[in-house]
Order: sequence, then structure tokens, then C-alpha cells
Amino acid sequence: MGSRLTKQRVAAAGLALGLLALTACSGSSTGGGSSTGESDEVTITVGNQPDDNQPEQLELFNAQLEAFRELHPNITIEAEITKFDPQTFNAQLSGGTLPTTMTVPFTHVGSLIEQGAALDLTDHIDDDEIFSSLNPALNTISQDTEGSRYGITVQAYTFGLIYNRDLYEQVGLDPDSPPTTWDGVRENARLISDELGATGFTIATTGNTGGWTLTAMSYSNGDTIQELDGDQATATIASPGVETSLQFLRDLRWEDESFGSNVLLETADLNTAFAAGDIGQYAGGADVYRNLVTTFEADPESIGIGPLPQSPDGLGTLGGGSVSIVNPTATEAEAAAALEWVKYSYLQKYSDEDAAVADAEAAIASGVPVGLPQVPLFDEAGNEQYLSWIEDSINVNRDNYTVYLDSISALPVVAEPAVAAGSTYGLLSTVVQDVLTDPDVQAAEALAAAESEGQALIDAES
Amino acid sequence: MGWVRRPDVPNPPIRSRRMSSLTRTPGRTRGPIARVTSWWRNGGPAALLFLLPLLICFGYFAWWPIIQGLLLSFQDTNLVLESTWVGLVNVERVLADPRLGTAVENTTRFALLSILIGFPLPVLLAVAISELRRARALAGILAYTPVIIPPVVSVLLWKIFYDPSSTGLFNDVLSRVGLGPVEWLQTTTTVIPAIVVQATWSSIGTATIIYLAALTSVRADLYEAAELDGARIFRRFWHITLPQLRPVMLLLLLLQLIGVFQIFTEPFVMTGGGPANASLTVLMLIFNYAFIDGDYGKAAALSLMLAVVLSALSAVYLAATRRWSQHS
Repeated sequence: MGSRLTKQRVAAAGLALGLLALTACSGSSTGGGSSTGESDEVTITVGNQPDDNQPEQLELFNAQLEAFRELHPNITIEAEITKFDPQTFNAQLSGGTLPTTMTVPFTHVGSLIEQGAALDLTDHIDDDEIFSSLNPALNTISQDTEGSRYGITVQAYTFGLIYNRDLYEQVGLDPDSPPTTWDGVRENARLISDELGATGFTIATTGNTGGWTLTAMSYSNGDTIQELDGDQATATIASPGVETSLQFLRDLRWEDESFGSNVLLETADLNTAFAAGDIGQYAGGADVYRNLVTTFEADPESIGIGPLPQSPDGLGTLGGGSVSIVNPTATEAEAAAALEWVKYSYLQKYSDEDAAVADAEAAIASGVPVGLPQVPLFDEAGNEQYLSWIEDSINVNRDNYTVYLDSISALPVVAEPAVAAGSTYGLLSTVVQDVLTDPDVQAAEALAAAESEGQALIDAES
Repeated sequence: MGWVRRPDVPNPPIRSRRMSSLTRTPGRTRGPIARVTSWWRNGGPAALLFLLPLLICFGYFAWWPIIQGLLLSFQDTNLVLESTWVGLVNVERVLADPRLGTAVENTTRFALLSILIGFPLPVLLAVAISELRRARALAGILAYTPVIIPPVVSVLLWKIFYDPSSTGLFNDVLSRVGLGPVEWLQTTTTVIPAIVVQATWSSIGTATIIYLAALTSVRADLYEAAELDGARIFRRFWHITLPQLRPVMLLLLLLQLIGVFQIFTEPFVMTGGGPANASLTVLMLIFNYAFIDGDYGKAAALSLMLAVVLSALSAVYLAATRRWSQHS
């Protein structure tokens, strides 16, 4: 998973946070490693403010704002509900209406860095005890090829196997032992399909999601879809790992007929069908647990999450999550203030028991499950401590995804393609759809045909 | 303009001054000062004042963005880094994209099929409704109802109808007569017809209402005369109704052509352009360039190309149908 923090660094981080809390109580302020001077008045805008549909979350957010203002009287924060939208992001940035800081999904971080749409935060991060204590495996997401840092990971998950525990039980499978190999997934899919008439295994295929999922599966089968040598990226779409993954989907669709009849599934369609008990297994991000419960009203007890199955030469799994970035037009003082806010609003709960409990209680009041499967932002010890603080608030059965949680530290997180990730996913979605809708299309041929197109997409963006 | 004032026909009193300027003797030219003076005396400033809000709105919200879009198509830009002028490079890149051919082919198929299915249907529907003795208004309302359903809602509704499993609505109906199941949206042969049927259903009401209105202007004595001459319903439709509706039909055909060449919502929501780009349209490709690839220059270039093609198509269409329109 990467290097671990030393006890000294953890202690130093704890001490720094303790001092931060102490100063908050005394009503004074501290720079906390930032370059914002005490007397420097600075005004920033922050996105991701909860809207009126989440009153408890909004209340917690406002309380955080108030506490932050007391802690940093020289920083004026104007909050707005702006969230990342790839369709409007560039226009907002160009028009000067983008907040000073907001979160963006992992998938888009690489292209935003490449476009110059995120500020280089390397100096700020290196100088800060808390930021430099973050899980190193997650830092690569917001790094460029030269190692400069452009963001702070504030939420992370990995790709896994999402399965219906009820359906597993109905066909005599042990819901506490999800398959760890793709052969096992196929066997279970066949069983569920044959005995229950439900879809044994499927994936979302529309938009870029089909390509995104195929990429995650390819990592587990030992290959990436793009190799990076310095600045030079090469498409490796036709590599054996990708072909094995595509062939797997093809076999389930046309040989086993366990893939289900609807092969043009959007993520929402997939989750609706899963929540209704029509799908036995699918490959997806573990963060879906929250949406499955809150939006699609799935029975939490029926949701099982296992690690992404691996072949013997598997590279690991694909990560997902959110990264806080800073507007590239921000001044040094604004950037420092924005990072103080990021630290306070997203990371404080991992080092401050009161903040952790308040956050968990607000989540429960909003109907959001507490104790969700996610990759620790700091180290294992810090994560355990955080979980112990919110123990009384945890309202999901974490035993249902123990295997996934246990795999997090063992299964490497492989980064997304560095160049043209979105468009390459779109291309691969087309390939996936081609194979799933036409029995005459062979996996190897479809990938070979797509590789030159994938390279053209890389060349166009390089 | 072919305007010649007949001496025996007096000018309408209100427009007399303007008409006199229009009917001046050929050869008598006036200088710019005289023209400005005449414009000023004829109430030009007041007209301009009334027009000003409209001009500002159109200028700011329509013409200026169009000009900006035009400029964008000749630039390499992501709206973040400084734009660079690249001339026709974006057009070349669009033409080199293998998806363009697929998108153009799909869009053309959409257009032809939409015209084939969607053009005659509202005419027939309007004639049928106009022939009703009772509940004509109710029939008109029912025909128009699909139009008032929000487009995305109706598309999602039909997506459910097209469920490829044997329990899907349409497949369930087919199974009762021993047919199917059909994977409506999942095969390259059925996806476009399936979407066209949905699009026709959701838009047919507008054209039907327009035809119904046009039918009221058809002179009843023509039908009476035809009936006295023994003309049956088909001959009356062919020789009276259709010629009378011709100008409206030609206009609606042009509008339908322009609209269907810009089809986006239906394939975007229903299939995302799939399966394997079988329902990818030109407008979806523009969307992908801009919002998936972040290549705004390329998106603007393809938009410009589409606008040029549609303008040319409209011009050819108008030229080809001018004589027919005039005859009607």
C-alpha cells in the first residue's frame, strides 16, 4: 500500500492538531504551517456547501464555518453550493466564477493538472505537517510527472466486487466469502443466473463507465491501458490483461448468458436493478454503498462488498475519490487560506474526537450511513482511532464488507491513465458495447482496432 | 420589389409617406444626407428606440456568442490556458476523426427515417381529426399531450418500454403474438428506428396542431364542389387538402430537417450513443469534444461545419421548392 508514517510523525501531527484545537478554544488563531500572516486579511470562496435538501449537513457546515472564522479571523469565507461539473468547470474558471477551492473526482484530476486548471500546491503541502502525513498511496493521484502536488485527497475508495448477499444465500453461497478470482465470479454468476433467473454479473457500460470498469478489471488482470515513460504516454489497450478482461465479459454475455439482457446500463440503471435484487454481482467503486442505501433504497444488509478479484499477476485495483484543488488564479495568501479550510473541514475529524462525533451525528441526522467502506486518508492506526471515536454512531454492518476492508492495505491502488483518461475510457466503452451487443465481434480484434485510436487520443492531448 | 403604384388606387392614408419613398421614379437617386433626413422624419429614431431592447438582448445573448463560437473554432483553447490561433487545424482534426463518418451516417439515417415516419403522420392525423364530427377538440388535446411531457421524462419512459428482457413492455406485447424478444436499443439495426419512433411520438402533436389550424383555412366550397362531382375522400384529400396545405408542409419539412439534424436528447439519454456508436449523432460528437475531451476548439469547429451544412441544405431546399410554393 505504500510507506507507513513513523510514530514520531504521527505524534507530531497529533501535537499540531492538539495545538490547533487549543488555540481554537482560546479564540486566538494560528497559521498552522500556512503562509497566511495573522494580519493579512484574505477572502476566499469555497464550494461544496450542502444545499437546503441536506439541512443537517448544512448546519454542520455552517458550524464549521463559524468555528473556522473564530480560529482564523483574518480569513473571510464565502461559501457556495458549487460542485464539480465537467461541463461547466472550464467555463467557470475562464469566467472567474470558480470558487477558490472545491473538490473534484479522481478521474478528472489528471486532465485538470494538465490543462493548468489547478494550482501547484507543492510548497504548501511539503511545509505542512498534516498534509505531508496523508496516505502516500493517495498522493500520486494529484501529482504530475515531475512530482509536483496539485491537490489534497479528502475521500478515497477503491474498485471492488459489489454483490447481493441475499442472492448469494439463496443459491447456497457463503455471503461472507466473496470470490477472490474472476473464475470464482464467473462460477457464482452462472449459479445465480441459472437458479434464480437474475443477472449473475454485469457492469455499467454507457458514457465512460464501461471503459473505466474495463480499466479496473485490466489492472486486476495484470495490465494497464496506458504506459508512461517520462512525459511520453503509450496506449496499451491491446495488452493481454485488457483482452482477458474483455473476453471475460464476452464469455458471460454469449457463452454463459449470465450477464443479463440489458447491456447498455448506466450507473443509475445498474444500481436500481441491484437494489431491486435483480443483479447478483457487479464491479464498481466501493463508495456506491452510500448511494445504494440513500438514493436507491437498497436493504443495507443485502449489500456485500469484496475486493476486486485478482489474477496471479494482478497489479491491484483502481482508486476513486475526491481531491480538493485550488483555483489556479488564487494568490499565495488565498491558496494558504483555502488549504487551511480544506484541512479544517475535511481532515480535522480524523484528529479531533469532537469533530468526528459531530460529523457522524450530522450524517445520521441526514440519513447518511456512518462507517462506510473507504480507504484511510492517514495510516491504519489513525483510522482505527477515528472509528473508535464514532463507534456509537456507526449504523451499518461493517461485517458485510470485512473482506474488502481487510484488502485495502494489501491491494495496491493503481493510478488512472495520466493522459486522455476520459476520452480513452469513452473509446473503451464503445469496445465493451461492441463485444456485448454483437456475438461476432472478438475481444482481441476489437482491442487491436481500438489501440491506434487510443494512441491518437493521447497524441492529441499531449 | 416589383412595386408599381396604380394611379387609380389611392394610397392608404397612414402609410402614404412611406410608400411614396418606395415608389419613387427610377433614376432619381438621393444622397446619404437626404436618406438620413428622410429616415429621421419618418420616425426612424422612435422605431430604433423600440427595437433597442430586442437588439441588445439578441446581440448579447445570441449574436455575440455566435461570433465567439466562430472565433473559437479557429483557436486551440481549453478556456483556461491562453488561446492560440490555429487556423483550420481544428477542422482538419475533426475531419480526421473516424467517429465523424459514423456520426454523419447515423444523423443522416435519423433524418431520413424521421422524415419518412414523422412527416406524413401528422398530416394524416390532422385530416383524420378534422373529419371527426364530435370530440374534435379532445382528439386535438390527446394528440398534443406527448408534447407537454418534458423530453427527458418521455425518453426515459420509452427506455423502460424498450427493456430488452422478455418482461419489457413492448416485448411482453410481442410475446403474446409469439414474437420477440427484441433487443430494441441494443442492436445496430434497431436502435435508430426505435429512437425515431419515440421522437416522432413526442413531437407529432406540434405539427398536427399546425396542420389542424391550416385545415380550417381550406375553403369548404371546394370540398362541396368536389363532392358534387363525385370525388371520393382520397381524391378530395389528394386534389384539395394537400395542395392547400402545401406551403405549411414545405415549411414544416424544412424545420423538421433542421431539427432532426440536431438530434441529441433522445440518443444521449436513451443509449449514450451506443451500442458501439450506432446511435452517435453529430451533436453528441460535439458534446463529447467539448465536455468529455475538453477540446472546445474542435467542438466549435464541428458546430460551425454543421451550421454551414444546414444553411446550405436550407438554401438548396428553399430554391428547389420555391416554384412549387409559388404555384400553391
